[in-house]
Amino acid sequence: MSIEEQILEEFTSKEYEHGWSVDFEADETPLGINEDIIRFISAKKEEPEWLLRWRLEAFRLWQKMEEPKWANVSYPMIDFQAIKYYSAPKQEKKPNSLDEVDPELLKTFERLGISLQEQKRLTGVAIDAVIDSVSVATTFKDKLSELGIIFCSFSEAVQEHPELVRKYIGSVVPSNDNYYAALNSAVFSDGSFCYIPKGVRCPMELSTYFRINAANTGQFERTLIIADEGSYVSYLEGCTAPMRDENQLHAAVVEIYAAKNAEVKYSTVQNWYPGDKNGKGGIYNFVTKRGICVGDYAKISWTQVETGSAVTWKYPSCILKGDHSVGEFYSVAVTNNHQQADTGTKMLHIGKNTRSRIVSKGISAGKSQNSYRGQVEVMKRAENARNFSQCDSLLMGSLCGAHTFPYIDIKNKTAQVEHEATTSKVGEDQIFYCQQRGIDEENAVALIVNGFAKEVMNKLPMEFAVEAQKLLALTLEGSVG
Amino acid sequence: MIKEYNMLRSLEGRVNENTSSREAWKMLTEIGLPHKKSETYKFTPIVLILEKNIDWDLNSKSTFCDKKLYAAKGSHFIFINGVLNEKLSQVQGDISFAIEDVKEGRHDPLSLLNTSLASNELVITSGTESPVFIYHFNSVGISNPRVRIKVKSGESIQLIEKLFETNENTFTNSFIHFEVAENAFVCHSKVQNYNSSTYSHETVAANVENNGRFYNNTFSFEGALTRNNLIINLNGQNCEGHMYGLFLLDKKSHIDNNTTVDHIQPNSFSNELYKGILDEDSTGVFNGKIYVRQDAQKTNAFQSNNNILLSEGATLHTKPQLEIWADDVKCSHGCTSGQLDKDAIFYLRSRGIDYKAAKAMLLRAFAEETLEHVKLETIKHEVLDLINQKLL
Repeated sequence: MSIEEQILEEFTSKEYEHGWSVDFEADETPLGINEDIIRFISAKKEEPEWLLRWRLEAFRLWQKMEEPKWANVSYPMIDFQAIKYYSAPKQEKKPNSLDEVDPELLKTFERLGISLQEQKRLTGVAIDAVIDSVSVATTFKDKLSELGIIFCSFSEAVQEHPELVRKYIGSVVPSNDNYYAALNSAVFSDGSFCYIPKGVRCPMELSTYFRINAANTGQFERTLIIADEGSYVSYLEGCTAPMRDENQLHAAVVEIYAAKNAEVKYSTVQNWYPGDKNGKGGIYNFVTKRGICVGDYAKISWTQVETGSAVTWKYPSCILKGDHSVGEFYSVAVTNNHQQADTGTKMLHIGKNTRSRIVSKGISAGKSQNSYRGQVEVMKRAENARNFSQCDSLLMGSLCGAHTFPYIDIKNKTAQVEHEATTSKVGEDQIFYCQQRGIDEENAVALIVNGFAKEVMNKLPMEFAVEAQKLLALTLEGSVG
Repeated sequence: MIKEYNMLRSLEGRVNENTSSREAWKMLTEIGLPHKKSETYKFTPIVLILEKNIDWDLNSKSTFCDKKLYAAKGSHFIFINGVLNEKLSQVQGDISFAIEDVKEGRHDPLSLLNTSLASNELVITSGTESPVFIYHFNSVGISNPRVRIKVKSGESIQLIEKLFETNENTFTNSFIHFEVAENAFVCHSKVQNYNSSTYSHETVAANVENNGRFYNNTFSFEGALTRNNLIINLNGQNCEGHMYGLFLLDKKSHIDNNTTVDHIQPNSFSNELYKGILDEDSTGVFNGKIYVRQDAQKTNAFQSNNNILLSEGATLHTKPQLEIWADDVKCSHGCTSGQLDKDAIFYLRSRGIDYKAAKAMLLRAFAEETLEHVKLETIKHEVLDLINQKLL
């Protein structure tokens, strides 16, 4: 078999490569949600009283809220009583080092291509791995703590740094923000916590890896990143889930707090199980991500590559409160088969001389629907605010759809806002050009799509860019012709 | 919510006996008027504003119509309080008209309201090319003019519409429907220079068949509340839809331009350009929708919305929206918002032009682009005069 054939073989046989699941014993709550479940989760985590109260308050708010319907996606009603809200791989005791972690767990992560072992030192990435609801391991903790950086699981942070957690939790995404944020606030089980002290430039990429393993569970994790004055951090997030016929819910909350002169770069490669070719199964990905530039000259940058999930509903946003603060949003969203994505961003200009930039690339294939929904709002006092938005859509096949819903609201005359959008398809002449030069159709499309998404891919950290490029090719596998 | 139904309750007694009107009213009471959270009226809480300002029972027996306000030449139709006055109207050439019972119209709330309350429907059938004018004189609480224009295959029509409010705090809810047959051409122009107590909701809908072309020009200058709903359905192949608009607002004027173009069949084309200049405490809203249906391959659709904000109090909401289900298409939209280029002003001033004149010159150049497609010189001049008047 020639190398080319091998590549082709590898390509065509690949569907969703992370679709397996591992059986390990897990601590679980029964199906459904009520105050007792929340008390159970809180007790399990040995949480302080104030956090339990905070959860219960959020739960009461959630009960009064209605499921939002405005997104351009359709899915059957979610039965919130048919979900397990807590599932944790059973561990005898809390591991102190990687050697004590259940080997089965470590194998799981190795199968995912994420080695938690120290050889990862070579790539210089610190990882916090979250399985189902609970963080199982965090690497490079000691090295980071030398610099005063706190990078640990959320529950650990609650135990060890309660003052920080209490101060910042819900400060960017309040629990009454929206339906899923309220649900998350009530039942979140774990997540990552990260604090970069004043003037520290985090020497390595921090990364969280999420995986849903158990059936019928929802994953509700919460990430909180605090960048103190003049600090810098680059944060990565990745995720996968096993193939299952039923839909699973993932409702996460990410909060970023950037103080004066701080810079946070947040990158996601989202590869939740998208369901099979007929749209059966898959993850509902309803995530609230928001960052706030509190201080002057702060910067928050979101980069996302969205290839997975049956339904995505996600708008990483920036509140530009400090003067001269900067918000960026780079996104590639790929949908195939029956996937639906409604994603975009919100840039809220409050401070003077604030700048934001939005680059969104949507690629739809198969019978999928891909929507960009974004809002740029310039408040009255935001002198000289500047925004540039660009959203391009690429359509592959005649059964998919691309939608653009940009909202632009301006209340200050000095604002300069530009928005442009285009929709097109992969040109026949482009494919012909490649074929002439001996590149087959499949690879030609991959090449063109990669070129289309390049602007965003360039913003990803190196380790992720390679993975993302492969994912892109995989997701669009078989969508031509 | 209950408050919104006050409006419906006070109008209930005026619904026509005609079946279409009855049915429309029934549908309207079911779906209700647009409320605060209605997506299409998000920035124009129309019912709240109307309830606050309009006296529905305001009645004036006067058939006031100031002849100085219009030129009584060519074909023209005079509507007084939403009802055609045949005596004052006249037709020339082979243009014909008839007054018919109200037929089923569109199903959005304000169109349904018009269908329920309009006493009849003026049907104009195209003829020669000479322009047709429609003048509205309104002085009662609510006026519901309703016009249907049939443009026969291969024919063309130029239609100019103007509205004069002659009483304070009146509301006009007009509905005009174009049936554009194969190879027909329509150019519809509106000049909206109202006063600061005029409230209007104007719906213009067009169905365009194969090779038909439809142009709409909307120039808005003042009005307490002006909402323009423009809907173009490109039902045939090789159709064209053109939408050009300008809003140059000051005081507390509020305008909401809502346009929809629906590409249903292959090979059609649409182009849209709306420009806004907002001064003082005015509010401008633009929502442009382009739909490209699955069968509408080889569609070309372009949309652009540019705005300049001149004052602290001005507000702009713009939402250019693209929804595409076909793959072999070329669609783009762009929108910008900014202020006058300081360098350009400096350039002019350094050549001895004072600030005010320099500003007017730049704004005029910005605004004039929307006039390019107006074929009728008289309208062009009228709009230019209005632009000058507002800017200087």
